[in-house]
Amino acid sequence: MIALEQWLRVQQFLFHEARLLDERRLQEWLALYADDAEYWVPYAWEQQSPQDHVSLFYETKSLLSMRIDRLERELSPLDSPMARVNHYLTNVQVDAVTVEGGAELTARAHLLFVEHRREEQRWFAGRSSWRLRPRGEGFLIAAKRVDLLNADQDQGHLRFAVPF
Amino acid sequence: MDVATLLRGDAVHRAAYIDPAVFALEQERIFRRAWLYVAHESEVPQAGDYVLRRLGPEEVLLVRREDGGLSLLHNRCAHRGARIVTEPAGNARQLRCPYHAWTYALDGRLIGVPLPEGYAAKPDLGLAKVPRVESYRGFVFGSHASGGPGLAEFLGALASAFDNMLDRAPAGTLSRFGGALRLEYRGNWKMFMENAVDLVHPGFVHRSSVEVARAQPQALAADALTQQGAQMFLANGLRAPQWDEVPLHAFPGGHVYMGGFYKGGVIGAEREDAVFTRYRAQLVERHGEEKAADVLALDRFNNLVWPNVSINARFAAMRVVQPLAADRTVVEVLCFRLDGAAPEMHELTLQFVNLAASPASLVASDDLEVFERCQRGLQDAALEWIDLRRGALGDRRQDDGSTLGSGTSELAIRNQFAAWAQYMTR
Repeated sequence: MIALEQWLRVQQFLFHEARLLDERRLQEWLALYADDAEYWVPYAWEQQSPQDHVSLFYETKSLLSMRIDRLERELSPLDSPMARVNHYLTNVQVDAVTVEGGAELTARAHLLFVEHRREEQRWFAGRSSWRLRPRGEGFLIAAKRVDLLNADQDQGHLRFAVPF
Repeated sequence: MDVATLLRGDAVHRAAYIDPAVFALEQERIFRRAWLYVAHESEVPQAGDYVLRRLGPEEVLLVRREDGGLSLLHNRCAHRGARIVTEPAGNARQLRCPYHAWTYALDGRLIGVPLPEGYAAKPDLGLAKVPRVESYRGFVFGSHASGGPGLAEFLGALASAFDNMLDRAPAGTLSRFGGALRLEYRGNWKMFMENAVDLVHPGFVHRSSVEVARAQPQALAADALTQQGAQMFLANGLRAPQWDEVPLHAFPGGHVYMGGFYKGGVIGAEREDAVFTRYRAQLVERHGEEKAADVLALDRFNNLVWPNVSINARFAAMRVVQPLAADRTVVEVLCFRLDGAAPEMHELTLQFVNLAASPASLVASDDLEVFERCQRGLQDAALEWIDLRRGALGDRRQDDGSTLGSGTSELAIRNQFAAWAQYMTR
């Protein structure tokens, strides 16, 4: 069982991550990630690996850095005008795990992602999970995975500028 | 409708993209006649294996029969019309309708109905068959027309794209793997096929990812995934004279490919790592030094089999364009495993499609965005015609019936409309 204070700290951290995305503070968002971090949004329900099946996102920090740089340059026709997004996190649970090289935490949450782009508002529901490395008072994200409920369905008119 | 009035010299009327009546006619005259890709044989290896697919306007089942043959059946019960199957793939000994349990053999024959005494004789019905199904070396196509050219004739010079993908497999066979990405856009299906061989748009539409890759040169020395992405993004930043060196080869039937694409490491540099060296050695063992070099050197990007297939043999990927309405299209992106090659080679294919074609791709998402802008813009009636003349003066007829043009020409689009007119007016 993890201490209440730790649970609150992790939750604050996850809310902070969500807020940085919502407010388009994308460089600050990226700085939350470890250099060896993986960011993964599978394209199949209960997908086992990004190495044997297509993914919606499967990116390293350097690739995420290019994604963010692209948004900040405001040259993408997709993102003009900029989409407005909200990330809602609930059902946050935290566990301590031991990994090679020290202790990590795993966190899980339910995600509701709402995006308003031009005249259209879109909603996506999913489950997010993180591997977190303690860093001072806060954390570094070692891995993030987002499983959309409709990952294996026709995604309809789907296109993402801002990550989940 | 007089379709001939929609084409005028090197211009096409906007109705070809936005008019639901034109779309309905395309479904009848193109998508119920041409050979359309269904699936790869590796998806249905065992008797009873089936996949549920779209074949033009209809939903069909490709089924492996007990005798090893393939049946291509409409997914509609011959009784009350219910869809028989809703799972995208599976295995069944027989096909049974969930409504009144009409039961069919794997070849579509009706083998059982409840309360047979209610009929004077067993109903003379069965699952409707797609008239023609043929496999080109494992790639299964179907045609809703009972007549017309055979598959090999239809593919023509573009059969070489499938051949090349097969030749790249150390074991000489391919397997489908990795699921399928599906990209939907609110635009006409033809836009995807045209854009895939339009080499003027990359410098503009993909400017956002080109500039990022230029601004982050360290990406070319980062992890393998980032390197591959950065190379792909940079490739869209060639200047017009460089694009002009990419020859367009346009063939009768609307097919086209772009050659010379990987010259100087465009898109994907020739790899020199241990995995690739071992892979290359496997190909030499299979083909001999000379042919292995030729197989790997075939540097075509986007081999288009009109109306709706795009093959990228080098990355063992394929796209199938499914028109849903005049203003609605889904593009399916499929990966193939080069049988006999190391798993790392397949990761390259997955990464290629994730980076280039996922709905979250830094490249494809901008393409789809401009298709939607065109679809909206073409509602405007002030200008009726879309000009297709760019590069027409440089079209060079070849002895084999093909036409050669330079990369920045709109030759491929003109060629696609020539095929479109042939289908639509006959």
